[in-house]
Amino acid sequence: MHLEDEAELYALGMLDSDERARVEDHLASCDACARRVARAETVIASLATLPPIPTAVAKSRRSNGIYGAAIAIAAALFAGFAFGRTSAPQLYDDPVRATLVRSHFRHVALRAITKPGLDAKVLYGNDGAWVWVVIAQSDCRCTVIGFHGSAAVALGEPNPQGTTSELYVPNAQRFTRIVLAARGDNTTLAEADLAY
Amino acid sequence: MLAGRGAIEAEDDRLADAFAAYEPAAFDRVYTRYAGLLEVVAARVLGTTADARDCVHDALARVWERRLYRRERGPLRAFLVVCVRNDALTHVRADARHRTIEAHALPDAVPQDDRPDPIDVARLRRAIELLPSGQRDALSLAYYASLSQTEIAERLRVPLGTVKSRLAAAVRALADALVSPSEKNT
Repeated sequence: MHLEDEAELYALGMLDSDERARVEDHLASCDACARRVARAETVIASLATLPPIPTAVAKSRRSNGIYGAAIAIAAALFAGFAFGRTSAPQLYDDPVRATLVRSHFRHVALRAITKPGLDAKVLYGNDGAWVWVVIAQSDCRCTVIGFHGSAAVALGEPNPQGTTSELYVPNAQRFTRIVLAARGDNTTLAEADLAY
Repeated sequence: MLAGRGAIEAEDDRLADAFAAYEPAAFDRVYTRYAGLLEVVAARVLGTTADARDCVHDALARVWERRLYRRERGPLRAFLVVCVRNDALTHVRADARHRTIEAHALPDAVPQDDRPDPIDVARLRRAIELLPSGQRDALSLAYYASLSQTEIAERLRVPLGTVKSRLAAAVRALADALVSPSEKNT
């Protein structure tokens, strides 16, 4: 007999002591279930290393407000980002402006996730061939990440340009989402979905 | 200068091999390597750093004595995080004293080497947004509010069996999201 839902429930910490012991006994000898639990454990380990639970959830643990508070705040928690990789700054000059002048383009404001008041925009070609991220502050220490569906690419850090910081990405290959990940405090600053 | 992610993973793999073989020196090496991370994980559940240290020590000792880890269980780090978290949750659920956690007491310094890849985190966030709301709500209550299955069933007004299946499905969906598209094709 293999584990069923207990595999994921074990990783999530939902089993009582007796159930846990039974699962652990089974895992000692079953490779298939061990691999299944390992997959679930990877998810929990990723969640566990994100920023800590905000006060609202912790304090309301037993109150009637917990349901709303927990749900509302889950999104913010999942916004937690660690600074993991980046590429060299991409310097640019007139070609960006030239592209802008010649292209049909769209723009969308980034939704601030953990940094209220962050003012940032993505300008992007109608054909998705380029992306230009402009942030209204010169010292935004972050990494720009682009998504095509679930595939993600670290694009680099915005460069200070006077009162703004900016990152121009040629060859953008039609990103569907742009995320700004903070350096230092491990959070998602802002994100935007790109429509075409 | 910090070692690159690849170098850290390679070193972690070697450590996992040694730990799975129960080489005498491996216990101390694993403690040194992961105690910082595991104490953060425990403290976030328990609400205090002092209890967290004991919890981590007890969990590691239990794993070592009972030879619970073997390589088929996947990355040692994830295995230990879940072990420590499970022990901490058991402790919290048995002891109502912990039920009013002061969040400011929680440490948040996950060691640099153990911070998740931002791309993985972004994938997780996206996958969570795409979960059916019933699964997402159950997961939030289980993970962030540390509620038991019974408490979640009461809160969401659904049968216990539904809570179990929703939670399991949610974790499976997130696990799928962490696998990159190229790995899925192999």
